[in-house]
Order: sequence, then C-alpha cells, then structure tokens
Amino acid sequence: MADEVTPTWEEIARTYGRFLYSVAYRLTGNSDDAQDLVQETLLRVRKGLGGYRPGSMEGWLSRIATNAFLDDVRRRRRRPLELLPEEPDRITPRARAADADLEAQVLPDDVQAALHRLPPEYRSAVVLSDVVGLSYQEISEALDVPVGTVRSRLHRGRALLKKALA
Amino acid sequence: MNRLVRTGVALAAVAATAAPAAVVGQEPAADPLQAAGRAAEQLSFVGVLQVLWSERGQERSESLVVHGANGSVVVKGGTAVMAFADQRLVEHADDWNLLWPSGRAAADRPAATRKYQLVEFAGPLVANRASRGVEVRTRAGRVVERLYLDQETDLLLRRDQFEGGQSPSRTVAFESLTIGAPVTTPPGPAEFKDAAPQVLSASRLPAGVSAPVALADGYQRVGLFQRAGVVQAVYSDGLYDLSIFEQQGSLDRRGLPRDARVEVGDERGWHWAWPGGHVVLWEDEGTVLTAVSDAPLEQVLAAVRSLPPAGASPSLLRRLRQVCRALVQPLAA
Amino acid sequence: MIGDHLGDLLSALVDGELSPAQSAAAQAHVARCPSCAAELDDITTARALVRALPALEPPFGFYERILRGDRRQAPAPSRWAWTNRRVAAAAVGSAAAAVVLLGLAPPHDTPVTPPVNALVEAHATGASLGSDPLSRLAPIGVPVTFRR
Repeated sequence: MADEVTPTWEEIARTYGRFLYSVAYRLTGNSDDAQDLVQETLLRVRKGLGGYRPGSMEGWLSRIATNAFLDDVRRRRRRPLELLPEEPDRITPRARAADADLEAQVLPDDVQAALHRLPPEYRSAVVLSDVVGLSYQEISEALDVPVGTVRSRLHRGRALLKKALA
Repeated sequence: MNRLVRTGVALAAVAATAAPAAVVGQEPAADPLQAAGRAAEQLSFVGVLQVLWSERGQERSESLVVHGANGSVVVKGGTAVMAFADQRLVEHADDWNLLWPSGRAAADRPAATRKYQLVEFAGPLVANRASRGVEVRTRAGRVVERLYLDQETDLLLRRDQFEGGQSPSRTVAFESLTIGAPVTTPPGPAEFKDAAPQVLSASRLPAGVSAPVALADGYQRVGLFQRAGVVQAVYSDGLYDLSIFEQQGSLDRRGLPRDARVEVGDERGWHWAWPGGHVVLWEDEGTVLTAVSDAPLEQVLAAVRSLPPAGASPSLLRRLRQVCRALVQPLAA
Repeated sequence: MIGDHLGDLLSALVDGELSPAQSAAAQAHVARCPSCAAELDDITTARALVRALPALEPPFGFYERILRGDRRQAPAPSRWAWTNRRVAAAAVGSAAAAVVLLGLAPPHDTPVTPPVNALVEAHATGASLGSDPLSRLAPIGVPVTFRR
C-alpha cells in the first residue's frame, strides 16, 4: 500500500470477497451463513473505514469477520458465554501406528465437518491461525484476549480436531 | 481408521452367527419394540452405541455415548438428542431445540404384524449380555431386520437392518453397556428454543399439499404437522415411519449432486442415504417434497411414487400460473 | 508446562512462537517424552490438515449480492426458521404484466432449499415415539452434512 490511498469498500469487496467467503465458510460451516457473514463484515468495514490502518488487509478483514461471527454466536446463545478453562486438559495421545496414513485418507470435507464441530471460540482461533495465517500476537489483538488464551484455545481446538478425524 | 474397521468386522461377525438356523421360533409375546421402548424409559444405564452405515459405497461408523436415568435418555455424538417421556429435543452447538413437546407427535400406529412377521430366535451375547433375537420378515419371507433385546430387561442391544444381501445395510449396536449402576440423570438443557410444529387438521390442508390417508405398501397417515411453512405428513406401516415434507416453491438445484438421481413418477428426484435411513427429494408442480424414512429404499420409493400429484386439486394460484404460462408462450415465440 | 508435560507449548513450538532457547528446551523434552512426542504428532497433523484446506469459490451471484449491499431485514434465522432464503429478483415479464392488468398478484417462483438435516431430525425424533428410541435416535447423534 505504497501510496496510502484508503481503498473504497467496493474495491475491498471485489478484491477480497473470495478470501472473505473462504474464511466465513470455515467459520460458519455453510454457504448461506458464510454469505451473511461476508455481508456483515463488509457493513462493518463501511462503518469503520476511518479506522483502517494500512498493513495486512487479510488480517484486518479476518479480524472483523471473526468478531462479527462471535458476536452472532453470543447473540444466539441463550445462556451466558461459558468461561473456558485457562488450564488446558491433558490430551491423551493415540498410539502412533494408527496415524501413519491419516493425512492421505482425510478429505477436506471431513476436515471442514470436524472444524464445524469445534466450539466457536476454538474454531475461531484455528481459523485465524491455520486458515488465515495470523501470529499469536495478531490473533490476540483480533480477539482481544491474552496470547496465552490464544495458545490454549488453538491447542485444544487442534487436539479436538485430531480426535474427531482419527 | 483401522480401529473402526476392525470393530465393524467384529459386529458383522455377530450378525452372521446369530442368523436363526432352521428352527422357526415362536411369535414373541409382546411387541418387542414397544417393550424395548419402555425399558429405555424405565432403566438406568450408560453405554456406548455404535452406528454403522454405508455412504456412497463406503462403510462409515460413529460411536455415541448414551445415558438413561429417571425417564430421560440422552444420546450424544457430534449432536446430542434427548428423550424425556414423549418429548424430544436436539442440541447443536449449545442450543437445544424442543422438536416435539408432550402429546404432540404422531401416535396410534398400525400393528407391525399386519405387514410383517416377527420370529424369535436364540440370540448371542451382545455387549456381554445375553440376548433374545427377533427377526422381522415381510410376508414374502424377506428379512428386513434383526433385533437383539436384552434377555433380562428387554432393552434393545442391537438392531440390524437389511436391504438385500447377507450383511446389514445399517446397524445400531451397543459396544459396551452398564445397566442399573448408579447413574446421574443425564444433563438436560437449562433452556431450549421452541421448535415444535403445529398440528394440522386433514380437512384444512394448505393449498398444494398432497397428503392422502394412505400410501402404497401399507403406509397409513398417522400425523400431519407444520413448522415454519413446511408441512410434514407422517406415515407408518407399523414398523417404519415415513415422513413427507412439503414446501411451496421451486427447488434450488444448485449444489445437488449429479450422481444421486432417482425416478419418482414423472419426475426425477435425488436420493441420499443417511445413518438412519433414506432421503428422497423431488419437486412437483410448484412443491418441493422431501421424503425421510428408515424403511428400505424400495418401500420408500414405492410409497412416494404412490403419492398423488400435488396439483390434483390445484389451488387458485396454481391455476393462475398455468394460465400465465399459456399466455407467455405465444408472446415469447 | 503442566506437571511434567508441555501442553499448549507444543502448539507454540509448531507455530514458531517460542524463542530459540525455548524451542531448544521444548525439543529436548519431546526427545525424551513419548507422551509429548505423540501429542506433538497429533497437533502437527491437525494443523497441517487445516492449512491444506483449499480456498473456496463463492456461489453464483455472490459478488452481485455483496456489491449491492443486500441485507436480510430479519436477523439470520436459526436452523429451524425454514423460510425461503433466496428470492429470485427477476420479474416474470409479460405474464406478470398481463396478470397485473387483471388485477391479480403476479406469480413468482421462489427457489427453495429444503433444510434436509433439520427435516431428518424432525422425522427421526418423531419416529422414535412409535418404537424403540435408541435405534431411532442414535443416527441423529451422528452429524451429517448433506452436500448441497
């Protein structure tokens, strides 16, 4: 972004629409909700464009999308947001032999289904880290939680994923 | 993966040895499924259930934990389902939905013995418990189910469904089970969303809905419901339930798989298997229909093909659409 | 560390979030701890599987919709609000005109997507009342995605 011109939201929508759709799909698990999430994200972009800081556009957009996603999750829940334990449980690892060919056999659809079964807070951490590629610091800023929490949610999410796929 | 396949093979082996030999057994004293249902409601138990099914030629398997205590049964896999007396709730991502409140779901099904023959046989050990076997056959002698009930309590230990062939096409079976041990009441929801249907009266069906009193092969209508504009007509032959869901509109065909086509009368529809049975989807004159059942596919197709067209007594709106189409065609030419 | 094991530091290790000194210490531990080694393997696999997920192609009409800024008025429905989700914008043309002249509401085709998962659950839970509940309910506990 050498010339520091703030892109219009239409430019953002055209250039990053597909990226946003992918992220939104990995968060919501279905096409309709993904499209709604993209709409909501772009709406927030329109409103908050004054706060745009040049840098990673993907990172900034993912942050808005993930917060929109979690806001929606919290709004639909009729119980208060459960507090996640800060101490992660010990995960009992599987015997190694069975895993040897796991990557070769697992289809993207299976991974998506397993991802969708994760609690939304864990799923968000996994998506921001492993789909978008943000660092722990960036995820911590995006979700407004300490880095230690990012690490434990990510770790727990990955462990649950592996368990669901084996 | 390997572990699941091995377990699947072990369960299949039970099925093979458990097939009744030459001896014709006696008619079981009471309807075994009713007895099993009562047992599930009355007992305290904890177990792991395995569900085996076939999807696009691939064997699939999933394990679920089930708790029963104080009249409440919760089955938990990726989704949780709860039965408490005649209420049914389903949970997704922490949201519980009450699908059937007390007294609402269909009741009064025909007796299974009208269409099927139930034959008892000596059962093997299932989940380390002595069982009695019940084989369910059509009048023509074809085996459609083998049920294994706990000898002591009548709880259903295993259900194999057959659709042609020696091995079951679907199985639900306890891998492990403890009955009677002190068990805490399964966790139920503190709150839930109301997803209950309205009961529809047969004399006041919405326009465009086809829901005759009976379908082919002994399926009788036992309930009519509506949820958010979707009508559900429930049919039963005494053993299987078959629901036909109907929505007004035209089917959005995007994303439907091309390799799942099936003939439904004059229309071509789509078919899927799910872990508990079959789904057939098709459209007819402005109505989208979805049939869901755990009956064998053959029976599901026969039943849906016997559904009279939704347009048999067309609504005013449908007649108008037909008039409009007739107007447009010469104009478009 | 939790007790004698690395726990979520294993994820930090794989993600390159540890300092060189911390990484070295963690790797030394993994070398002598089979439990952490196996857990590291699991985490690495899960991470790799998600990182390998392909980018998705948005469905037909997506860009039009987002550029128009279409928003549904109601909040996004729950899986049980089976309202039609997409209404075809196209008018029916001369037929509509002809019908409007007659003073009647123009017909429209609303593309409908049956919520198959929800229908299956409604059916199977109801069916469990006529029969043994366990064998009818267990299949619903298996989450299934009907491919659209």
